[in-house]
Amino acid sequence: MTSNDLPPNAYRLPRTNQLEGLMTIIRDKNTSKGEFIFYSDRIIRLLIEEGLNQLPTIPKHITTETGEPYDGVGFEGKVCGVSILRAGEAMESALRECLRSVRIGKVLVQRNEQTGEAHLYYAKLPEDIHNRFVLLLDPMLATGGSAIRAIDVLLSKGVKQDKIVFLNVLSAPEGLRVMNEKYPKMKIITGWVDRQLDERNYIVPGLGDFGDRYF
Amino acid sequence: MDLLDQHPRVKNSFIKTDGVRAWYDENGRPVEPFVIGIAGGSSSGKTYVAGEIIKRLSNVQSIAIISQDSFYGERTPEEIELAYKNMYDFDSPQAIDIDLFTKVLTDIKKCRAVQLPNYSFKTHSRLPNSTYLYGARVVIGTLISTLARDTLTCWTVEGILVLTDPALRDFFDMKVFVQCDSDVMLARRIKRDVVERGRDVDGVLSQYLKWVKPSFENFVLPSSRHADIIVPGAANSVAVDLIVTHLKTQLTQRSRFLRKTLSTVSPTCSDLPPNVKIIAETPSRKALLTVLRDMDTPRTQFVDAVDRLAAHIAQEVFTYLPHETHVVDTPVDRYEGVKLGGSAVCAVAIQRSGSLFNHGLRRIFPDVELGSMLIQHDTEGGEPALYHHSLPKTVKNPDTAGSTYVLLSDSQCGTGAAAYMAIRVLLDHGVREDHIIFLTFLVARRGGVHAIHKAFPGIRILTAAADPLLREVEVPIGSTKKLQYGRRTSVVSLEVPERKKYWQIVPGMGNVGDRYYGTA
Repeated sequence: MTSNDLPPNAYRLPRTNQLEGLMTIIRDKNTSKGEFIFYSDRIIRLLIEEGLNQLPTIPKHITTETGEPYDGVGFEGKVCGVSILRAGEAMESALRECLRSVRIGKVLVQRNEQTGEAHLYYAKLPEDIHNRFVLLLDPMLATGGSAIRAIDVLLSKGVKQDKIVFLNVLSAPEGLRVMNEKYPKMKIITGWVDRQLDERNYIVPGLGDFGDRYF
Repeated sequence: MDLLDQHPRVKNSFIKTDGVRAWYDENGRPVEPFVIGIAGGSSSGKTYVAGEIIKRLSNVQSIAIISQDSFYGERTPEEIELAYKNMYDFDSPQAIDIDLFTKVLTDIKKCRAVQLPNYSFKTHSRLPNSTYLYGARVVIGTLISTLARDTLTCWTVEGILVLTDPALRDFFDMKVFVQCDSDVMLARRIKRDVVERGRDVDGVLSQYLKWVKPSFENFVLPSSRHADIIVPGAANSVAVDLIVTHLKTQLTQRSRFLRKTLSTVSPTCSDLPPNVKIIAETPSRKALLTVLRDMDTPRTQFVDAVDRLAAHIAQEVFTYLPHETHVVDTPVDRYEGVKLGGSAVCAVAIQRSGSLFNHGLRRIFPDVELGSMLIQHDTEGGEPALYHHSLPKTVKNPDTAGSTYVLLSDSQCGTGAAAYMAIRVLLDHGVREDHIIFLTFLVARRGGVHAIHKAFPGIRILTAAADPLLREVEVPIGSTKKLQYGRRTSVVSLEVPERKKYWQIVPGMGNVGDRYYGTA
């Protein structure tokens, strides 16, 4: 899959020098933990900003300090974040920086080492999540196994597909394809789409295990 | 004053009593400072005259005194040996590094920042550190007595030799020669060297006869014929008054009032000049701008929106910064990426409200050096004045300024007078025009952006929005600015007599600094 034939529900951040420079740093295996955290936070902030940008706005008429009217916009509806533990937690602080009092739910999904299947261990979500837009947070989208578990939980709580925006730093074409087949109305915003998955289901060239490098 | 009293030496000093007004014309080109050269024999009273001039210029914004003896050249080991034995002729024109002195004076005339050398009379060599000087509108150069100075802590263009060199003479707008009786000069010299420096009278006298006196007769005294004015070494208040009167007239002629001019450049043109880039207006950014513009926005929300929008604007600078290919190994595979090129990047905020970008900039360049300039507008004409500048090392260093990128920030660009001044400061330090990127939340389509583009076409301006109007308003000082505008009109009393004029962008976002810092 090249960047030109992304699935219709996926959006990739524009490939600027800035983004490519940041990606180069976090991919480098010689990057220190401190730098990895700082620079992946930067990419995550770009993702969060783009995620918020996907939310619908409504016209807002205000008066400026000079006494003049101005036709602006405001966001409609309420938002919450849902992070897929543990790596998804790395994306919470950037969301918090943009929306200081945002509610955040958490989902723990882990793979069963014997069967290779993702298993849902824990989900703690805001009561009124069905009335909210959900920013689903997971830095890496490889096969999409854990994301599917998490999204199914959201859907079972009454969240509509088209009110979910799934944010990830790096994704594999295989994962994006699966997401599009299963949840065509959900939006995905990804920082970068890599070449492929290898035989161990690692993203190539990738950046290794995000959670291990971040935490 | 007792004729033999040595006046305390105010050498190499920089005095600033007020903000520095525009030192450039409406095309952004610098207007030369006024440079006075004071020459005279050793111990004739040159520094005293310089000090008297300064005393009478209490309202002049910035004066520097540069001493020519900071410019003694590097010596060979043999010469240093001689110097320790009082056998080296410091009073000869060859003792001065005339090339460096000329270069510094040339730069000063062009309003550039300079690094003045420091010379140690203890080791008879130039010290590794230099002294930074920028922004003087009056420069007084003196060269005092030159032999065996114990300490040199400051800078002055005083000079025994200042007027002897034809190339140097041209630099001075006014040339002063301090005339003093030779006996008095010798007496002062003996007193100083014996009492203050513990030398013996024989040594002082032999040095005087061998070097000081011949130099005075051969070089110094003849140079007095080039002087515009000859001042007695004592009881000279009439002469000093004359100098100061002339100086004040000259300074008035060199002052510039530009704010009105800047605000009315291209008054009918509402097209933005090509160097202004508005970052793409996404729904999210439009919502942030709405928060900033809304007069009813609570302060916490306002602060958050400012910090977010600052990061949005700041990250766009990568478009302008050079990048190069960079190959790395990931834990899984090899990857060909990019990284920033080698040029230094620093940021300079126009205080107060340019500092609103600091948070956003630090997010993006965690270790970026943040400089600042305090530029405030006076209450009558609204003319900007530079009160303080603290620039990044890479800008102050003449060897690196030319390759440094500077991210200059201010909250808004209305008449652009402050940004215009800040840009001039950066250019005076040798920063390239196309290496300056000006970040601001909002520009007016008229006025400042056109003036900046006209004077400095290479500057890039990055902003989040452009508003149609720029209008001059008047508000009482000390009262809230909401007096005549908006819904809160009626509650403010009109008792404050003093009023302040300023230009505002319409519809605009009001005083962003006040709203961010909570000082409204």
